[in-house]
Amino acid sequence: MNGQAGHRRFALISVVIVTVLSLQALVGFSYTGVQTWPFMAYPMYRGAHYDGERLRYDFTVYAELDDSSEVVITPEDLGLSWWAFRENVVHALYRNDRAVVQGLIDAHCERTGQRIVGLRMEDLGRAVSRDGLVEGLPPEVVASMSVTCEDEREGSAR
Amino acid sequence: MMSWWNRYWFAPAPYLDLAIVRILAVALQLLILLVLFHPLSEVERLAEAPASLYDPILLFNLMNLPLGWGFRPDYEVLQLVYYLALAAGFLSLVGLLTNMSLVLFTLANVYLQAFLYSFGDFHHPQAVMMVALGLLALSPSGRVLSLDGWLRRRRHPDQPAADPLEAASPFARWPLLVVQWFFVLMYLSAVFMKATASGHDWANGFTLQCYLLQDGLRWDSPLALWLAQYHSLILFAQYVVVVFQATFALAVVFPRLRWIYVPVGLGLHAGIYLTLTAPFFQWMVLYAVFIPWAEAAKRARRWLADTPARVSAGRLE
Repeated sequence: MNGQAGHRRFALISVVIVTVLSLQALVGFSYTGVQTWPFMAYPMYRGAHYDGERLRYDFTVYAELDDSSEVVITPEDLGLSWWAFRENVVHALYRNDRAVVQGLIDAHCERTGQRIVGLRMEDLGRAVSRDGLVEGLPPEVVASMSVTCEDEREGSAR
Repeated sequence: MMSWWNRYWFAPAPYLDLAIVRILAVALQLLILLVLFHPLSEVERLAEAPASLYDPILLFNLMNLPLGWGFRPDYEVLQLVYYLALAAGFLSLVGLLTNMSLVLFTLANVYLQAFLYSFGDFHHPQAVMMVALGLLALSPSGRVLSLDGWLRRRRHPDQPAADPLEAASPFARWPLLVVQWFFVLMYLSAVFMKATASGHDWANGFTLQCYLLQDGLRWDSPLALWLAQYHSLILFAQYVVVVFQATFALAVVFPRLRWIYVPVGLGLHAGIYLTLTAPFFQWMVLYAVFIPWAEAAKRARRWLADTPARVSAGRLE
């Protein structure tokens, strides 16, 4: 390889080096979402927790039906993985994000014929202590939302 | 400044180090595609997911730009990309048309992974592997331990075969260094996020106990639940994590310190997998960038070459 071609190659590779490391440095200390993947921040396990804190890792989501009965809604009921259920249902209920939840509920109503009028999310009654797990606490309601199936909304609109 | 830059990034380095990283990285990624995480089944499930869940990430939109912003590929297209990834992967592994194969392998894996991350669910272990594969594709990673290398020697039988442990290039070092510094930045990001989210409260013992309990219950890990009972031990572990992540750059700047940082890092990620069921296999395999494979192989070869003399000397004594 002659000198000029070699210098050009060094220069091009140097641009790649600077770009890759700069992007990672820029994103890694700022943005925690997925839009810049594969350049990401690493915020996993960053939140501190304390003695006696209730474990909020998993929840039971109850759907209240129009006949006043209740059923448990699982990730499998909505065709989601555990992670996708957490991102799309659990977090949405926490944020009271009706738009995200409604789309999934509409699909579920259509598939099962169930008439859902509300959702309630409870923790599992567990906490952390110096000696480890504390169980058997009464479950706490962490979020709730009233919903209606799409066909009922359309019927009301008419 | 430029001569320092060139001396650092482009000092001659053995092709062998790069080739071994190529083989290990590609082999693991093939294992992930075929066995460990089998993304095709996940792709099939997500192909049926409601439209309301589809939120393509930026890179996926850019890769599909000729087909329109927000384009959602059919399962058949994704299946084709999957099998293309497998084919390109096997060629990359054996080192045939290595650079082109690696480019295709990288693009196919990035495409599949970006699709999987376009439904509100994403994880962190894969990113560095995608970057590493891309860097390997731009480097002479197929010069040795490859069919390309073998074919090259066959085409030029008059040229003396270079010792694969000695053959070196100024272009064989930079990809490994970039991945090393990428690790530094990932660990610094992790410790930065802990510091800004929780400050001194993070390393209080209860934090890691809580995560052990949550993930231990969620993923049914008896080891996590057992370990969560030992507050003082967990507190010590948290300090180790913070110091390790904050000072990992020392392993890059002072290569001798890799004897400490590499085993600790491997132990950390193995422990995270066994307790929190968070698989960071890609990080563990890519720790190969820290190991001077050619140097180790030369020492082993010298030791083996000297063995008959040592044995004879032993008999004489």
